[in-house]
Amino acid sequence: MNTKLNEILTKALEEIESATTFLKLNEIKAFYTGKKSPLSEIMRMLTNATIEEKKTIGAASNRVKQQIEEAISNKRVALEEKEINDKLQAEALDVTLPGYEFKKGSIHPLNKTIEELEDIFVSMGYSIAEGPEVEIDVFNFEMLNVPKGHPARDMQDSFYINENILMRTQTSPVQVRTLLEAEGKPVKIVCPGKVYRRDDDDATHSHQFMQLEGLVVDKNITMSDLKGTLSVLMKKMFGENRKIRFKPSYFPFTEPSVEVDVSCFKCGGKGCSMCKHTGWIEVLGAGMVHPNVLKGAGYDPKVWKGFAFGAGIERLTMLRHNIDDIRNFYTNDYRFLKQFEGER
Amino acid sequence: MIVSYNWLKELIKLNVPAEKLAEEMSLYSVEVESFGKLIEATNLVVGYVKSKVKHENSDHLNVCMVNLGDYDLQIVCGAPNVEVGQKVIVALPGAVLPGGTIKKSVIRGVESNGMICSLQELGLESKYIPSEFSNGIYILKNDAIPGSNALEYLCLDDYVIELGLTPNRMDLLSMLGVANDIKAMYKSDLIPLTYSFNEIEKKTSGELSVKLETRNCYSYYARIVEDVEIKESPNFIKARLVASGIRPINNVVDITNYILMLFGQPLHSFDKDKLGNKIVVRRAKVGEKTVTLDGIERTLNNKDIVITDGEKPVCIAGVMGGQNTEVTSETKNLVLESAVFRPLSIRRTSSRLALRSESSIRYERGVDLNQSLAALNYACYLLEKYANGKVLKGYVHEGIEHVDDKLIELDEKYVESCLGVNIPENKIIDILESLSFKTKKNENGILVYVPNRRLDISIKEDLVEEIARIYGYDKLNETLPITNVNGGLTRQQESRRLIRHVLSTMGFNETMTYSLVHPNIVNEFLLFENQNDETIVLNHPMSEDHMALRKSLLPSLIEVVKYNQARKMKDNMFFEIGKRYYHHGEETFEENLLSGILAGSMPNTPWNGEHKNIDFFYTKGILDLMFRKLRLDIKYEVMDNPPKELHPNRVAKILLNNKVIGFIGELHPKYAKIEGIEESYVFELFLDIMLSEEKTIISFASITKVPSVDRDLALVMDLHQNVGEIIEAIKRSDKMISNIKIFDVYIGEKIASDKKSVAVRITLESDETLTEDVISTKMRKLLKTLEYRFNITLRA
Repeated sequence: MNTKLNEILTKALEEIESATTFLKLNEIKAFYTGKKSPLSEIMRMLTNATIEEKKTIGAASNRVKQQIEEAISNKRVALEEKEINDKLQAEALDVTLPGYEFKKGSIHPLNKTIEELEDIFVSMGYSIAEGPEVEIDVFNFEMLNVPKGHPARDMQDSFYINENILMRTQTSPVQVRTLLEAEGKPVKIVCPGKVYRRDDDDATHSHQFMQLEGLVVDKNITMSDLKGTLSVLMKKMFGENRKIRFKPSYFPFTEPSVEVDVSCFKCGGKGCSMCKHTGWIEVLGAGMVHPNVLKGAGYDPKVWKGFAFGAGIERLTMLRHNIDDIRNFYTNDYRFLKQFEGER
Repeated sequence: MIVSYNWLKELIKLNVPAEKLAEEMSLYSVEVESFGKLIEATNLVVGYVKSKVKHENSDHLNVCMVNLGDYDLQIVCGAPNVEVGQKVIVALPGAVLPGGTIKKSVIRGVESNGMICSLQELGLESKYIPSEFSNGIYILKNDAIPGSNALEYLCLDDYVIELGLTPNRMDLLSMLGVANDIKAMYKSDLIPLTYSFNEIEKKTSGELSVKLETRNCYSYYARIVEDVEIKESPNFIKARLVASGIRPINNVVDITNYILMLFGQPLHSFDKDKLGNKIVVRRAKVGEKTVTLDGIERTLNNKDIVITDGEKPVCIAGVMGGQNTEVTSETKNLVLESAVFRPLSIRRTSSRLALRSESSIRYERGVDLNQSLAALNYACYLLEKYANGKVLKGYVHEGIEHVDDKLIELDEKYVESCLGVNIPENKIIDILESLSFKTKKNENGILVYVPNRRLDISIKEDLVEEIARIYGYDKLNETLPITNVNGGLTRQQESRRLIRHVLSTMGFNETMTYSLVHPNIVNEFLLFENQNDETIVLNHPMSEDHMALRKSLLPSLIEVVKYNQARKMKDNMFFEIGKRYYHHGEETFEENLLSGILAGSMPNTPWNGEHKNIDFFYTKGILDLMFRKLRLDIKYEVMDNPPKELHPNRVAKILLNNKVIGFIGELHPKYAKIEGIEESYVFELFLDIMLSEEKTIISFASITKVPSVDRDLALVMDLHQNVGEIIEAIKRSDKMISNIKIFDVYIGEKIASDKKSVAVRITLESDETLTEDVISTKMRKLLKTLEYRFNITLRA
């Protein structure tokens, strides 16, 4: 009997081994473990055997059945494995093909610069002030210590709408408006915005451009505070190793007035084409708020002091990104704009 | 103001090389705009033409033997005016001229060892070259020594430093003023001007009377110089003027210009025989006419100051002389004027007549009348010396004779409070004294006497600036202000940024276009309710293209699309945040807009997927995303009077709290065709209204544990029924309805031709399990409502 069982086992294992489909495997399973399986046959043949014999053969038969079932189960796993592997094989991708494109647009480089500047100043406790672009002469000039007939009005020929209204030529009127609104309280603002001057558009001039102006007024503000503030700004904009220097200048609404240079961020100050071999690049105008401006806005200059500064956004952006023609900003060529889709 | 380095060295003891001086002036005095040698050419010597023989192989070349002191050189010369006996400028072999390096050469078989030069060849601008030498070599005077340095002889071996003009530093519009500033920089000493002249017996006062009839003339000095000989100026005067950027003319004109540069005091010379013996300074009459030196007839008004001979104008004060009293080569006797006028008055006249001159520039900024007489006398000294003039005794003067120093009090503490560094009192006094301000200590600090020369200094802060710049801005500390304020962005500012970031992430490129546009497009894309907004127009535009302030950003965005499509970039998604501007009567309004334009294919389609063009609903979907991000509950409604630039049946107004905040639509195909652009979709939103609402903080709504239930309905409705209305009605019909999704709109044969079928998926949510009974009841109720309100039936 044992021989018979062994034969059945051998045959079953062979069949299982050679099965390649789940269907076949199921058939094998049905054949060897069902009611009509060769094992059942053997058991039936035992009707006349002794109890002892039945026990022994029954146990042996069960072991064979178990072995067959185990083999089938293992084979099933193997078949499943193969099936998955075949599927994976068939699903092979050329992973170097491009990913689906999520078209990213861009923020205009001028606004990117403004956002960056705003963030730097907000981190130092400044607010962002805004004001109208169609401005009255009083705020654009007179209260900034530039009365009618003042030679400084030549520095920036203006677009007038009527005798008293013009397109603002600078963001400085926002200083005046902010001071008037603050009604004698400390002020710490930057104001970005569009300004307009009578310039023919060319590579370096634009009749419309953007400025960012800063103003701090409190009781103990000094010119050293101005220098420290602009030094922080330049380091954040152009790198930790940048230095700044002041040069005497003139703005009617500040006294003293200075031009601010930053050490060249291309050559580090050694001199190159970027800085015209001087090691320095002019980036800002600044100064201490003129007492007449403070007085006009209701601040006693004996008690209050302040500093102000102004930067051309186009100039800063051109310097930082190596842009050679200001008209790029206003032409809005897609090939220009898309270069600014990433950060910084 | 262009400063001659050599001239400076005559006025101040100076050991600083020109280049270093230029660099340091920028840091301590005023911005230097440019620096360089007046003449870059090198290796130029004086030569004496000993002989001249015609070149045998040429009809225009001459072979010259030129003596250079110790030796002779053979030079082939092509100039028509070269002659034996002339002193000339010779460029030796190795000389570097603007046109190239001079080498020994053989010209048509004849050896040539250098070049006889014209002034042009040295790099001098032709406007400085006397007309008789404009087409040939320059001929030197006989006193030139052969072999000596030719530039030195011509006083052209100089450096020039061009200063950037700021409107305040009128004192730097003179060599003496510049010297004084440099004196403070280097604590050096001025070299006093020395001059004297003889006066003849005849008195100026006997020959000339001066009367001032306007207070716009502060001071008027005049002297008479007779028997002048009009001729060429000496080299040093010509060279100083060339260095200063002024064209030499003749000795009389050059001397007045020389004084202008030296003292900053404009002088005017009249031909005395044409002028007569009377000067009256008055306001011009309205419509009064006079011909100026340039031969142009000028019409004056009563704000102009004129110098008259008692009747007619002979000069527009401070701006330009009159032809009727012009000094010419025939002139014998001169009246010299040294006057000071009201700056504003000169400024008005010169800008109205568009006549800006070295004189008017100085008068506009203010001239120191304390120096007027010295300047006049120095001119007489030069006229006697270089024009053989006879100076009449004395002068005539009307007006203010002297302006006293201004007194300003200052103390160490105050300077420190401005600058944030301590500068000791004695150091402050040193600096002020070096600037030639007298000082006196008193119990409050320092009393500073500011001379009239420094009209720009009138308050303490002006002095602080002087102290700071001479002390050195590099010595300031770098500190941060200590202020008791907080900062940050306002919610509107944050939202504007958010919009920028959302839209740019969605594939839009942000643009920046001009606010000033052509008046023809300024009324495009206006909502019906905005059509009475009056356009703001410039009173003196530079061009028609930038004449009016825009009321919509869309015409500019269309320009951008047009530009890009013309360059083969067909997929366009642009937006801009900018202002619209308009008048209502006297009042001006500015409002922020958010505008966008979309054309071409939808972005974000997989490369192996089907490419679809941007359409209305794509555009609307992007806006919806943005509105969700901003937490705005927006509604779209059909627009009755859409702007004519939009497709009349593909346009919607956008509402927030029942207020119109903008519109979305397709560009009218006719309009797009005229503009030459592809099918485009646009939107324009009134940002200020849109962002004006205060927003509550998000409040969490509890999530039901029971799964939601979906029901799909095919609703048959009138073809023209707005589905938006239906969605709204369904939403309101039952609180349990948490979501409504449209997934198909069918129009076609399977239903009546005046109907459409809209497939809707309705999601219901509840805290308790929804039984089939409850759901069916709700659906029946909903359908009944829809049938009653909109005549909607369920599709069979």
